[in-house]
Amino acid sequence: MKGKNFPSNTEIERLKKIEKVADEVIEKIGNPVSPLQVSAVIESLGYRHADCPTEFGKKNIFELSKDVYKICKLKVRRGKAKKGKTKQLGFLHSFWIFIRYFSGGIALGLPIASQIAFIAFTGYSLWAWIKFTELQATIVALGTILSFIVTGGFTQVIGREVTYYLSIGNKITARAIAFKLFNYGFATSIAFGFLLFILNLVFEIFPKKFLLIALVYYFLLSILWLSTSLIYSAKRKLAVFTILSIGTLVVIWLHKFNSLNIHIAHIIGLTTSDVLMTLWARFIFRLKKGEKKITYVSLKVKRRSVLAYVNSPFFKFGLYYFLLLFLDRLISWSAPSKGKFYLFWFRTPYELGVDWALLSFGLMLAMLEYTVNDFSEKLIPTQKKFPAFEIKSHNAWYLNFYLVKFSLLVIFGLASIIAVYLIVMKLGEVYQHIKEVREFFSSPITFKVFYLASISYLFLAIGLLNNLFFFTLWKPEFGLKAIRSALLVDLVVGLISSRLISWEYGVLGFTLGSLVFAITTTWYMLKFLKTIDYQYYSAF
Amino acid sequence: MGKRPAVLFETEGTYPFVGGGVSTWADILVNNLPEFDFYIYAITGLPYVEFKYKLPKNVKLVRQIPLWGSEEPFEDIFFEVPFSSIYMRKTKVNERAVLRKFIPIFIEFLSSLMDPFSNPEDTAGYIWLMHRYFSEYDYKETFRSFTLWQEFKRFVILKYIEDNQFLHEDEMPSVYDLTLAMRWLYHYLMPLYVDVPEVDLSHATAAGFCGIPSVVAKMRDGTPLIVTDHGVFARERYIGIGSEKSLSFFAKKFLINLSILVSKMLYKLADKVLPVCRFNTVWERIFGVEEEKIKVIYNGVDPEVFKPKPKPQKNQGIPTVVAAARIMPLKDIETMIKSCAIVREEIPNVKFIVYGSLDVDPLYTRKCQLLIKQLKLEDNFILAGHHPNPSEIYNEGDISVLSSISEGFPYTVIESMACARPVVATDVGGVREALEGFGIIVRPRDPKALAEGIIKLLTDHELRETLGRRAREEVLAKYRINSTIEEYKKSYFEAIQKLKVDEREELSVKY
Repeated sequence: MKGKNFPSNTEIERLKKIEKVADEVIEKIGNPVSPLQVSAVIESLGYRHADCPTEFGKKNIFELSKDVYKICKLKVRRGKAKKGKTKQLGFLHSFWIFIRYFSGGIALGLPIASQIAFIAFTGYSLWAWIKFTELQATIVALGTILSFIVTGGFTQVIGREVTYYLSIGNKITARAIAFKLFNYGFATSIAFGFLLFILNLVFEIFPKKFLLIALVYYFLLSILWLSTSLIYSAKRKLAVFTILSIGTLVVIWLHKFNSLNIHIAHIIGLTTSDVLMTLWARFIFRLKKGEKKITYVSLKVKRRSVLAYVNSPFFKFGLYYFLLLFLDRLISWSAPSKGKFYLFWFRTPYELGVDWALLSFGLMLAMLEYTVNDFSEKLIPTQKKFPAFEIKSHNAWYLNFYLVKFSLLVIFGLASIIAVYLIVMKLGEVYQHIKEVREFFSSPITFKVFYLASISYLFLAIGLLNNLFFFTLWKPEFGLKAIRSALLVDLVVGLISSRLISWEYGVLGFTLGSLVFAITTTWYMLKFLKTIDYQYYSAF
Repeated sequence: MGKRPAVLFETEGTYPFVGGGVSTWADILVNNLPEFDFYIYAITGLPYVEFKYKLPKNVKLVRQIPLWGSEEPFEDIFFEVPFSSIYMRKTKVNERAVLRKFIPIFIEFLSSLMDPFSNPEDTAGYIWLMHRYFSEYDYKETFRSFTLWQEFKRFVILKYIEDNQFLHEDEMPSVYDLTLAMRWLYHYLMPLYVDVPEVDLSHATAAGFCGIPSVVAKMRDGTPLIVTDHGVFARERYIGIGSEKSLSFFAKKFLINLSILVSKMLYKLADKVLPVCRFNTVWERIFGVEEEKIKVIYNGVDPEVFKPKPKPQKNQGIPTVVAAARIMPLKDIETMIKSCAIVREEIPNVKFIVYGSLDVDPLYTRKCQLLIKQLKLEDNFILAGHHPNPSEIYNEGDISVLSSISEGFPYTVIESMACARPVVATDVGGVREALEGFGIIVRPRDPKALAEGIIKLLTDHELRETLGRRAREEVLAKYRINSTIEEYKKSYFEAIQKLKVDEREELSVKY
């Protein structure tokens, strides 16, 4: 036909070669961003500028890349490039996530659950005995509560700092900071104990012997919580359960089979657990031969001022959390009542009611473990799923996610409370021939406290659920504001009700305090979710 | 006698914390220029690094700038500064301050980033203004500002869509892309936070993020700036970022644009650009470097340290190929291993010994070990790890090999040449400039071609001897370390003198 130029064989060959280069470029980098990028990639594939005129009919690679770029773009638009589609997570995967993390949460509660089981079946735990007199129980309770409160902040910070360094593969700094924080906690425990001792000498709140025994329990339990937090942060949950059980068995063997004084038996059992826990922590964080020689340029551990600055919100939260957990007992047991001898006096029916309620709380915590891990796993896939101009939809997705988890927690929490109630009642029926079991159910205070404490723990779980989201995205200030308000309400309501109604109504402070915690954190959470794109971005 | 001239020496992922060719070059430079005081600003990935080199007395300061892994950047950069003064900077940051003082500059910077034709001098201005802001306000708290995030989102989405008509589905940014992009800005612009000393000269060892303090020094004091290109930073970013399968189109484009922006800015402000080979000059010109600024200074070796010696007894009678290369993808050890399998068919008792760290990329090392096992090369291919005396590596073999897919002007080639051991190497970077006529050059990623070159040299004794001898002569003529040092010294003094002349001229015009 007139005027029509058909490409020659050489030109066709060259076009095929150019297309082959385009395929190689797509194989290496996918959709190219510019011809200059294509030039760089072509060079790295081994093509040379000198070969371009003969092989491709182009002056050099830069000229060649203009054509290659166009071809790549055409192929990509025709769908020939690989698409990076986000994996859709099916139902089975979601179910697996639930099983995996829920059972992980159960495992977290295993140590405490085992102590409850020990006391139920043997009458002994590592720091308690079913046949304690109220005086003995008061001594131990005081020591136990103080140990939780004083070390609460440190255990929170240890978990945070050590987990962070281990997650980036820096065992050396993780080890250094773990032991440094342990030492700070240890020193603080001693200092606080000493202060109490001096105050008691001056004001004579408790008899000297009483306080000394309480301080021994306090001190040994403080070491236990601190060393346990080291092991938890290295994710060795089973070791904690094992070591606590060994200590408990020592107590049983010494007291039941060797007739040693119960407090001496506890002291030896606790010391055994402390030593084993500390040695095991040292073993976990041991350095291999090559690692010992490494000397990093930058500071191994942040300065004290910086450590305090970055961790202060988490430290405070840890402290306030344990205060919230135990404040009702401090208030109720210090209220005037019959049979009370000192400023602070253990009340068996109250404690039984709270411990009964605690069983359902343990199950709720497992639910929280699942929720926070599910949230973490979904963060990036969800962000990838939504285009940048659909941020409102992206944030709305999270609101929906949260409401589902919130509802699940409430339903599960209520179900746990009911289940725990029914199971314990049934066990009471079955074992009513045992004196201690009859005594468990003898006081209406136990039931009153159980009802209020159960619902309080549910509110607390809701607050913790919200707080986990805040902590996951490095925004502790929301949870901190909420728990401060909760503590204030707990204190005021607890004091008023325990003094004006009856001593056991200190638990009402806990109920309303945890309700405030739940409501405040939920309100913050709903606002938080509206800007969750920002919250995730700024989580550094 | 006057004070010694001070040099701000900027490195990125190299000296003095990581080994390799660039670090070797830097170590040679600082040790052999005792007439200068060096202030080293070293960008690293993570904060936890060790010194790999003993520092001479003229290194007055090493400031490490970790881009990642710091919970509080100031703690790893300014650990000598009292926390109270850092705390003051933190308390000053609020949404209003960020909106009024930072965002206007930041948006202009973003605009430059997203415009391939932006003026690099304007970018330098924004860098300077941002640095000034960060001398008063905390870096991390500023980047965590809600207002900043909102403005970033709004601007980037609008500008991206406006500038890119007919976007394909895969080219649309996701929410995650925005998060990534803004976090990259936070990490890569970390050198903005660093106080820059008053120096006589700054020397960036890559046209990359490490050069940001140089820009500050230039804008503040007119400090002369020298850039050395070992590889071309921008080119390597095109390839490296492009190869990241996990990144979306938008994310790659954003990060590449950021890298190119910084490169162009440094090239524009540089008084001298000193690549280590002519190959790099092609790309430098494309990125706008004027011809008169460019001067190639080849790497050099000490021919008294790297000199020919007989093969050790243990390798006598065994055709031996040595390589000095860290086990990492850029060195393409897999192609070397495959070529060994081909060589073994002709020369059954051939031995390949690769000296180089096995810890740089443990996954890749494992991949290579599996390939050796798969090809049953356990007796023929040895990954020998780090050698304490590099000068002895090449004399252990009959020839040496380099299979890299990307290089600047590799020391391993000229060191081997100095030891009169001919090299079979891939045609990347400046290899051809060193080796043409003195070794065998092959295409990258071609085990067959590499094997053919190796077989040729191992079987042709005369050729091997001739090439080896000529290679050493070439090194003595062109690649002596003393010549290299002299060239740098001359460039340093010229740059410093030029500033003084300019200052004098300014003064004379004034008065």
